[in-house]
Amino acid sequence: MNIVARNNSELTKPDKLKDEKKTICVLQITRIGDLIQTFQACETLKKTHPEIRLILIARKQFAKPLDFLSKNIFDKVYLISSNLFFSNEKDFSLQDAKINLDTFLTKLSEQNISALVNLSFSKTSGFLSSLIPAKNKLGLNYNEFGKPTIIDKWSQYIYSNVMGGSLCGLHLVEIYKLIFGLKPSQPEKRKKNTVIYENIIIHPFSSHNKKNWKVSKWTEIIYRILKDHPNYNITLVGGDKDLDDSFSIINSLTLKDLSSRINNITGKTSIEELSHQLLKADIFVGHDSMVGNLAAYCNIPTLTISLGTVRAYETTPYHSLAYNISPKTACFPCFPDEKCDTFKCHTDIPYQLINSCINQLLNGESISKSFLREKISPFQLSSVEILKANFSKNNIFLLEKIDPEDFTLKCIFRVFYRFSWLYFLSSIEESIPLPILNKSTYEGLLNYTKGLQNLYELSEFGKTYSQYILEEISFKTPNIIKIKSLSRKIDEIDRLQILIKNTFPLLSPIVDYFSIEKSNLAGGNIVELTESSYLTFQNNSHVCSMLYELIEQTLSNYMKKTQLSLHQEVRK
Amino acid sequence: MSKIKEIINEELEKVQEISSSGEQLTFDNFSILFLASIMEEEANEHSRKK
Repeated sequence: MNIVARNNSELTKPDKLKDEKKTICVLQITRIGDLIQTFQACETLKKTHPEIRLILIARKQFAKPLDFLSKNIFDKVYLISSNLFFSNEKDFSLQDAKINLDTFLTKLSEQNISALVNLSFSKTSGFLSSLIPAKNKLGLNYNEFGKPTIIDKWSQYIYSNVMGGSLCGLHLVEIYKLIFGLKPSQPEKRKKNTVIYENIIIHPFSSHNKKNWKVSKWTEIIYRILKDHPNYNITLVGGDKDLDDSFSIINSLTLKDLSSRINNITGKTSIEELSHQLLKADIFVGHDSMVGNLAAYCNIPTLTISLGTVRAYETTPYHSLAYNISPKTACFPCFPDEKCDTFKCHTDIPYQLINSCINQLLNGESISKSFLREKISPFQLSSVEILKANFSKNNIFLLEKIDPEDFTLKCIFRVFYRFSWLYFLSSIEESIPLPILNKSTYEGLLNYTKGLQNLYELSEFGKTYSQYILEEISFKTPNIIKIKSLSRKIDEIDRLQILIKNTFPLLSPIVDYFSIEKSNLAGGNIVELTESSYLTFQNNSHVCSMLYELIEQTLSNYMKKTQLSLHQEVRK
Repeated sequence: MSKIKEIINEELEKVQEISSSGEQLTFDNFSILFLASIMEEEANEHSRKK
C-alpha cells in the first residue's frame, strides 16, 4: 500500500499493535464548507465505531476556526499550511523544507495509521497521501510513476462522476460514509428548536461571484421580508471580504428606513460565535456556502439558492430541514474554470419566488406541491427547480423535487444513476419512486435507449476480446501479433465509447466511471490485467442493463398512464 | 520566499522530466511534488483573497 511512503517499521510489528485501537486518518484539505460536511460523515463514523482512533489532517486556515467542532469528533488533528514547511528566514533552503516535511511525516508514522482516507481529490492531497505511511489507502493517490491511482470504488465514483459531471444524485456526506464502509443512517437529530426568535440569518455571499447574486437582488429580498414580517429582524452574516457588500446592502436607499432591523455582523464573528447566532435564528437563507452547512449542523431550517458551479444534490446543507432552489438553466451547474459573462442562471431565479417561499416557511407551513401550484405564478416556476431534503427508506439523503411532474431528462437520469450506483457499488436497493414522464421526456428517454444498447454491445465486445486474449495467452506458444491486434480492438472500443458519450451526454457517468476503473486495473502481469479488463467490461454491461431496466419500467409506466387517460377520455 | 519558490520550480521541472520519461519517482521526488503543490495552492488562495 505504501508505494511511495517510506517504510514505517512500526507498521510491521503486528504484536505491538494487537491491543491498540485501529487508527483511521482522514485527509481533507479543502475549504470550511467541505470540512463541515466531512465532519458530518466522521461524526457518524465515530459514533458507529467508538473503538477506532480518528485523526484529521486539514489546512490550518480552514480547520483552525472549526476547533470547537473537530475536538468532539477527532482524537487528534494535524493542521498543515505552507508555513509548516517553509520559512521566510534568509538562509532557508530546499533541504530545510524537506526536513520539515520529514519531521511532519515522522509524527504521522508514529500514529500507526491503519487506513488513510483522502477525501480532497486535489493534486496536493494526492501527493501528500502518497507520502504518508499507512497500511491501506483510500481516495486519490499517485503511483510510483506519478499517475493518479484510486483503488476503492466510491472514490473512483467521486473522481469520475462528482468531479467530472453533474449527474450525481448522491450527497457528498453519503458518499463519504460509503467510502468509510458505513451502513446508511440518518444524522442524529439534534434537539429541535421550538422557540420563535423572529430572526432570520441571511448570508448573501459565497466564495465565488458565480455562486452568489449581486447585492441589489438581496436588497429587494430583505426589503420584502422586513415589510411582510414587521416583527422579524435580519442578521446579515459573512466574512471579512464581504464587508463592503454588506455595507452596500444596509446603506441602500431601499432599506433606508428599515436598517435598524438589520444586525450586520459580517466580518465580526468567529465561526463558533456564528454557530451561536444560528442557534438564535428561525431560518437560514443564503447561497451555497459554509454558513448553510453550519446551519445544518445546528439543525436550523435552511433555504439555499444554488447558482453557478454549485451542485445542489451533492452539497446542499445535509439535514432534513433543507430546501433548495436551483435554476433550470441549460449550462447550470458550470465548472469553476468556465468563463461566463452573462450569469444567466442568476436571472433565472426570480427573487419574488424566494420571498414567497420565505413567507411560507415563516408562517410555519411547508413548501408543498399545492402551495407551488396554487400560490406561485407559473412564470416564476418555469425556470427553477424547487427541492426538499428527505431521507429515503434506506436512510440515504435525498433531495427530491417538490413537484414530481416537473422532471427534466437530466433529473430523470440522476434518479436512475442513484439506483444503479448504489446497487452496483454497495448492493443497496434504493426504494424511491421512479420519475414521472411527460411527452417530451418520454421521447428523449426513448432516444437514449439506442445509445445505451450501443454502450452495452461495446462492453460485450470488450468481454469477448478480453476472453480471446486470455485464450491466446493460455497456449504454449501465444501469438503475440494476434494479442496485439486484439488489444487494438479493445482500444477501439474505448474510443467508440467516447463517441457514444459525445452523442448521448447523459450516458457520460457510465463511460467516465469505467474509464477510471480501467485506468486502475488490478494485476501485475498481462493475464491478471486482462482478467481485470474482462471484469470491467462485465461491470460496464451490468450497469447498462440496470439502467436499461429502469428506463423500460419508467417508459412503461408512462405508456400505461397515457393509455388510461386516453381510455377515460373515450369513455367520457 | 521567492528564492525558494524558484528553486522548487527548477526541481519540479526535473521531476516532471523524470515522470514523462517513464522512470519511477522516488520519495524525494514526491516531496518536491507536494511542496511545490502546497506552495502554489496557498499562493492562489492568497491572490483570490486579494
